[in-house]
Amino acid sequence: MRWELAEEQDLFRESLRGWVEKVAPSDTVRGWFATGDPSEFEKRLADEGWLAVGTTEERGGQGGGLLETALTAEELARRAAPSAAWTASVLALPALPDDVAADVLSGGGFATLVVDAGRPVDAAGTDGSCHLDTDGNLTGRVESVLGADRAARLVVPTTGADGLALHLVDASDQGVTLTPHDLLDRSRSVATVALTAAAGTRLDVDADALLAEAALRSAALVAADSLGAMERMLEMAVDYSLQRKQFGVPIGSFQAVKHAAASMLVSVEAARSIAYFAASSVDDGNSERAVHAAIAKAQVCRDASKAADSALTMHGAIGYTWEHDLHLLYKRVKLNERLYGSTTAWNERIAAALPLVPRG
Amino acid sequence: MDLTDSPTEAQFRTEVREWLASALPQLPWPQPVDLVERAPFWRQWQRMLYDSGHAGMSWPVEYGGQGADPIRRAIWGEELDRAGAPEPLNILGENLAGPTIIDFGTEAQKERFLRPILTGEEIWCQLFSEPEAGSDLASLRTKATRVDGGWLINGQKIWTSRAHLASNAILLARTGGGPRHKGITYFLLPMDSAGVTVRPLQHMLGEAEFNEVFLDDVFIPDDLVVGEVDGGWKVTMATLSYERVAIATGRVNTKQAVEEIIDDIREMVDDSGRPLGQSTAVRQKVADLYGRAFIHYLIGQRVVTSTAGGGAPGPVTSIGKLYFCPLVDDLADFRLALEPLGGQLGLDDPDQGAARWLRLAYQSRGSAIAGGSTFIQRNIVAERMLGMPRS
Repeated sequence: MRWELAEEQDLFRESLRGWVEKVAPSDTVRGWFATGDPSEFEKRLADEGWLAVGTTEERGGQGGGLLETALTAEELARRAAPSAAWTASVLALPALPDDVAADVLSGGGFATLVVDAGRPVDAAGTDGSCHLDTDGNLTGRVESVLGADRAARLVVPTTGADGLALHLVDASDQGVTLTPHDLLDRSRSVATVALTAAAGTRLDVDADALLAEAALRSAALVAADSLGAMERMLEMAVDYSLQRKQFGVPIGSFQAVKHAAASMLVSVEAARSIAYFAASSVDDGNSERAVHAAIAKAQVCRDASKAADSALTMHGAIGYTWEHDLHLLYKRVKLNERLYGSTTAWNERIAAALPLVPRG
Repeated sequence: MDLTDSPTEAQFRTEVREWLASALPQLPWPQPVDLVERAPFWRQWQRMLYDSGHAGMSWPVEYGGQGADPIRRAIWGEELDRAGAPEPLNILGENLAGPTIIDFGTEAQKERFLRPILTGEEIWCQLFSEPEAGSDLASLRTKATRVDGGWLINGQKIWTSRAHLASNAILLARTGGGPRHKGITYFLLPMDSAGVTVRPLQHMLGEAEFNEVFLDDVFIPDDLVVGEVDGGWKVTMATLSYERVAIATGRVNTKQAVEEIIDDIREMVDDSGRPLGQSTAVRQKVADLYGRAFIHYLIGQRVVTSTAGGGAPGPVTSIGKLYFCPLVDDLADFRLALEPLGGQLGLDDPDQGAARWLRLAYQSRGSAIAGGSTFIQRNIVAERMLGMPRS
């Protein structure tokens, strides 16, 4: 095995980092959060090609795989950039027909899978929330759909006598009611989707396989998101510890503070080790990919949440204020701990894959 | 990211696997626990490695090694673990003293000391730590006084693993050319020299693994100095960097340990006779340990990849020990918790069924202290990787 980023992947990350820093400085991000309208940023993500990374050129994408997409998640998280529309679209894209996918990528409107964002995609998508009426329309209700308030296209799973199916629904259809919710983390958004005899087109795809795949992709991407937010919180905490003086010296010279920072770095590098690996494994079709993705989701999101608390303690009272940027990242990793499935849910998936009970 | 072996690496793995399958059954198993009793068993194994061209995997070919690149070395280590090969007994000789002699030794030193490390004839120990010089190694006080043709050494060393088995030692002593780091010289010491007294210390489990070593007017000839007189700190830093890579790539295969725990759990039931593997608490804990052990494996692979690229070992080398130590504590403790009375029966009690895990639990606490305690390691990470000021 060789665990390393290719040179072009390093360059990609560097150029994306520069772009996000320029386009989404903290004051601007806070402005989007205050108005609840990040569409300016979302539009640029699509128009300038970042959304198309990770989709093949034949489908209107820029090429690159899930590792490049994970690097994108990491960089967006570092600046707490609004990313519900991006994440939701990246997960929905493989289900879309070529022409619709190409339209989404070129800025024609975002897409989302209509599944409860608090559970693994394949568990939430098969829970029977939506069904087909006798006249072929869709009815049902799903709470907390990531990016549904930002999406022009909904991909709705239904269960019925002929099994699981996916349907493409126009978000502006009169049978669709969207009720947006505020999240504590304002860099993402969810909405309740209620369908009442909404018109849909059944997608000609293997719905079970697509949702299973989306679950693994979501695990790898949310892990990469937590990695990005965690590394930025570590940088902020270390910078602060070098400026802030008490007892006549920078607080970063105190061993308690140094040890907290060192422990955070351990978590960051452990997270990087599994997050990039899991993205590659899922993409390569590795036989253990489901376990790799589950490890990434369970371990990284939990460790990042703990690291966020260390970063807060290192900042002292200033980190607990609204005016300091720490809370933007802090709340992001707290949401990630639950987004698309809890640590417990993903650990249970690992356990289920291990030979813990006698056969038969 | 390349998740698989290249064709030549896969071929190497197959060859190693086949050789191990034929070689290991020739040993007089089981492997004795006590180090003194284990030495002849290990020597037989090391000789088999030497005779079959598998000894000194990382050493250059010109010194009798196999010249394997870091990736082949990693494959070799994985296959040894997988096949359940004997534990290495001469880590000090093969991974620390040998590479130091190769990099800094004279031709005569190489000629005299390298081959017996590979054949298993000579085990080494490290006479660095002293009662007053642990994490602060440069405060060591053992004194070397100039005499005709060499040096007379006086002082005391402590926590010296395997000194009671060792033929030779790497030794630091103060030659006085300057304060702290500047007045230290690096010596090679045959342990049968007059004036060397080894007194075994029992560790917390009552077993003798490390020692006190008293040095009273021990003569070391000039030709056993490594590097410059008073310039031993530079050589020491090299030795310690080999040690860090050895620690980061892991002395315990945690992935395999968790797999063994899973095999045990499959055979166990809870108090009401239900398969233990159905318990939610057990499933959550195993999944967590499995995940952490897999990440530990990946951290090792990152160290291997970065050294294979010839670059400086990245941040991941320094964090290896900090990730690894609590993981081994947790997995050994968890396995013990599944035993009657938490595995707390005495080691020699006939009903003690988990002696191996008990030893691992205690060894793990020891390894968190050895080679720079985890507290010191955090200081180093904070100062060198994160640029935080010295206290």
